[in-house]
Amino acid sequence: MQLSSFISNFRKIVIIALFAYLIFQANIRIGERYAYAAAQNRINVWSQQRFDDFYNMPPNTLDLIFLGSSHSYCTFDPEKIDEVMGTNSFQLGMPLQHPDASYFTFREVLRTQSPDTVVVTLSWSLLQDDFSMQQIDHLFPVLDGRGEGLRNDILENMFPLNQRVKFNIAPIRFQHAFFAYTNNRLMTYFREEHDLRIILDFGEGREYYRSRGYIFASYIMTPAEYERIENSPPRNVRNWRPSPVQVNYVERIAQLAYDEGISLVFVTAPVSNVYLATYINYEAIHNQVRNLAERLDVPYLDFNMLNIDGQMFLDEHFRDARHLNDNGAQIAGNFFAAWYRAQTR
Amino acid sequence: MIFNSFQFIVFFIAVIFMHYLLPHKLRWILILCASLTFYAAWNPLFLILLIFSVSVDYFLALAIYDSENKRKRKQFLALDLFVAFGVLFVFKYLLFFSNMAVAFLNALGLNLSPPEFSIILPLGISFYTFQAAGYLIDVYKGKQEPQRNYFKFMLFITFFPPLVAGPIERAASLMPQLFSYKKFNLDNIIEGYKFMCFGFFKKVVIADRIGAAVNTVYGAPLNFDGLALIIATFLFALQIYCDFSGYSDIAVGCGKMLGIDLTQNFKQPYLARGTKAFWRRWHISLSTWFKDYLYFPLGGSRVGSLRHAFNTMVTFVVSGLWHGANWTFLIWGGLHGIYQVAGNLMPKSVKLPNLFIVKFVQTSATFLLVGFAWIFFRANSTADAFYIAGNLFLGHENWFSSQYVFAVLNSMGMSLFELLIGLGCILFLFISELFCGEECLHETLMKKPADLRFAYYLLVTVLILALGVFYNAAEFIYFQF
Repeated sequence: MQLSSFISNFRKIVIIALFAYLIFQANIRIGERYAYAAAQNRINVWSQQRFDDFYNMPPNTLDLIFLGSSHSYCTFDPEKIDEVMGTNSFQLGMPLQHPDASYFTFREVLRTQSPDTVVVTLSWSLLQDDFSMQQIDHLFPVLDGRGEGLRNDILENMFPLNQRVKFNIAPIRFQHAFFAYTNNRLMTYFREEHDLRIILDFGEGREYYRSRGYIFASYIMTPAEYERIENSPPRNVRNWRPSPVQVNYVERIAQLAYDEGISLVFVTAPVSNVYLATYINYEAIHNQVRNLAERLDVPYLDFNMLNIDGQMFLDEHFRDARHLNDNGAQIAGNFFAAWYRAQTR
Repeated sequence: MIFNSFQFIVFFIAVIFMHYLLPHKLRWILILCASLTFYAAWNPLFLILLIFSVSVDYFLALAIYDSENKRKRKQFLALDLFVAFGVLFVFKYLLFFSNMAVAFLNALGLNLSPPEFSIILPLGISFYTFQAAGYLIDVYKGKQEPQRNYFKFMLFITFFPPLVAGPIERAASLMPQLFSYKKFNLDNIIEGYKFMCFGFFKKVVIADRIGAAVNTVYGAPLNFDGLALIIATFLFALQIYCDFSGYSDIAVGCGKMLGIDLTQNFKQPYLARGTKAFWRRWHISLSTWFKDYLYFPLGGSRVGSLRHAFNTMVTFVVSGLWHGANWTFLIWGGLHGIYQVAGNLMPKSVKLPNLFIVKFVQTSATFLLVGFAWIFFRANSTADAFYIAGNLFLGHENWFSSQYVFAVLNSMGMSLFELLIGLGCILFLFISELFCGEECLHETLMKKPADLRFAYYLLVTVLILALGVFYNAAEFIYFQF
């Protein structure tokens, strides 16, 4: 009786081991396939170029650095800024870059550069998150063997334990990129083989990596997108609160800048008025970020409060509801230069 | 600590190990501590309320049982139900009824402003309140002896797998299992894994994937034509099934690993032929609770037809109200009540032929009726619900244009590829369930060859790994109830 029970249990354990082994193999195969797709992502290609350019800059030549999410690299064109401010600036904003990643990128900058000023774009939607893996999926592939310090800093300090586990399971980590890549191919197939097109949120125009980290776009927000946003249900943000994790990183950015003797500026990039109108009590967000900046003694520029009457940026200055196009970026650059001069005078 | 989180997996593995390593006498104490930790992980303050409810139920159950006087026993029961449902009322319904009262008074000419307060709904309050109420009623009726150990009673109410979203367990079934000796058995672990695996598949591969499209369309229905509204409603029907039955499967799986059999809460409900059959297969533990503790005491079906219809309507409207303090839930419950009453009016002597086409039509019609009712369940307001219900065919003249359909599919807040993945997995689920009849999937699979079972669960696990939504993991929909 005992022998048969032992054999039965042994058999089950062998089956469980085989099951686990097959899952492990599937994990590797799927992970490789997904990781390949992540490497094909167009936005990652632009980010790759941005980091290539950054690492090719001669040491200690940059005096103004921009950090933040797509709001940063769609708002601040270093060429324009340099033209009006006489600086040598660089845009190191990355897709979905949260304050936590901005902090570690800032540290990476300081390994080779000694800027006088750092401009960090704070976006309220990102300030709410405790953690975002997607920003890592955009950042790590483009480091491509360089920036080991940045990578290790992020892995050791920024990742909660559960996120570190997910990070080490490739199918989970790269799934988003694989889905985006495959969907792109699917769209191409339908467009080329069946002449089917989605109603684009982008109008006619071009978008490409221009220089010094800036992404040029001449698109203009389409009427279809305008209408969609206009019909969206409003969100009351009266009780909006930033994530303590991200607030902590904003504080660390300020401390690092202070320790290194670097001027720090916080900016909230403009969004279209139709989009801003979907937020009831936007002032509550503005006040919270402004209070944070005041507490840290950092100058703060909120383009949305300046544009509350819609006179500074018109709809035609946006590539989509939330990002400026190149025409908008030129206006933002001019204004920022004048505002910054006034601040430092 | 939601089931689909890394924290829960670590927590549960630790509990399993300790459970089987500890001597039998200490195991229930471990499970009690684990249950309280599990619940406190959301908000430790909720624990105070939970312990208060448990204490009231415990002492009043003993008072009911020990009292010789029938009138006093009734008073104790009434007091317990008053306290239990009173707490539920304060946390869940006070704001709703206050708003209603203000609206009513304003209609009478007073000029009152609506109350401006918000109450955080304690997690699982409807579930554990109903479980405790069922226990008290059973004690009152003499069907159940009360548990005299306070902490053992606390474990019955707080046992963590079904605590926050059911199944709502009966004392007669769960109580003895919690304290009986359980030898470690590898089969229990394997069985538990199978349930959990399928539960995770339904939750993270289907429900969380298609939920994005549902949220987009139901979040701003005015932005969408009829086709998108229909697709979103169809997807919501699947989302809520996969989300809720996924939770139940995971709870049952956790229970199995601990050697405890929990109630099977779902039996392929969308394959039901008729709305009555649907309710025998959907959220079974709640349906039977309402049947035993509300519908039967009202007189059930052994009354005149008018009274029968009234009993049915009351049961379903209360069931709607159980889900939430909102007119949308009341309408949803009312609609299901109307379906039942209408079904009861059908002549019973008509026997339909046992043909595939008849079964197909019956199943499809049931799905359409249930799906239509889901509009009211999911919509953010009654205005949205009536807009959706009234505009399901808006833009129907374009439905045969491939360009139009393509554009609609790409406008629903998720990529076409993700939508196709979601639909593919729904098809996989549908085919799996089609072979089960009213049997549980795992029971059906047990009759199949071992190789096939192995391949099936391997495939499901790989699908979870490859297609599951792990970032921004969504909470289970039924947590809000």
